[in-house]
Amino acid sequence: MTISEIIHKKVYEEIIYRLRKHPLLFARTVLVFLFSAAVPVFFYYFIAVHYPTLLEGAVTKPALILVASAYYLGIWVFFFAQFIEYYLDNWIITNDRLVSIDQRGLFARTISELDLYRIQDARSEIHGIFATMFNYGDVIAQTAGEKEFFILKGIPDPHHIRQRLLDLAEGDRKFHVLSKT
Amino acid sequence: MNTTFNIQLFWLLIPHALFLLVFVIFSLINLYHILRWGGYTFVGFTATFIYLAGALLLLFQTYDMLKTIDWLEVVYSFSGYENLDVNMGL
Repeated sequence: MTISEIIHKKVYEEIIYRLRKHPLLFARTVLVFLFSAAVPVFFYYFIAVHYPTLLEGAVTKPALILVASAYYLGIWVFFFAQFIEYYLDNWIITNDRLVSIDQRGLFARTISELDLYRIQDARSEIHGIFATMFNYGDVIAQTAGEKEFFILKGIPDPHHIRQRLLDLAEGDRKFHVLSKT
Repeated sequence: MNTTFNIQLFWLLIPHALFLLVFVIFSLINLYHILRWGGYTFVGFTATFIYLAGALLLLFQTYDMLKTIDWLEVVYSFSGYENLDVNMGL
């Protein structure tokens, strides 16, 4: 599915931004994965020093290999699932709407839409050393709709996105006023 | 009449095979999600490629380390008796 199909893009609609969380926010998951991958290596050296016969036993050797194989396959598939959860979280800003696609795990997905002309106000926030250094943060849009706040979390260059969002909202409001007259 | 029951090394492969089945199911679910909702991007394609390559590498490495094992080797053997003579002492 292309992004146009996912959001059911209208004929007059143009995709301005497709935003994801900053890659640095996924780096934490990568570090956890690398640490998890190193754990069996430490176990191997521990067993090699203290219980070397286990590594050569007729039963223990294949058993340890099978357990290590299952462990690595398990963390590999879990890591990929974490990547998919990160990668499928999208915010799409068009000239008409703000669409939020929120992937929660593998079996839950929430898609929210907000017409741009309903945005009353927006603010951008950057908190923390890494966020300041790498310029990522949150954009919070206050709306006149049922959902009072629309939050874009951990996106790159939030101050610029906030300004563009307000400009697009103003443009959409003018479009709606003109179309009514 | 003696009956002998042998536990052979290949029994270790049974739980591993069940785990591999679960692994394949979750892999297919992951691939479905990224193909359906990922939007055909270079990053999505590269990540999928790396995942499949890594999985194949792990499976091949497991096979390579286990290929010299004699899986028919008897690990444990125990025997029992049939046709018990029960002397009631009557």
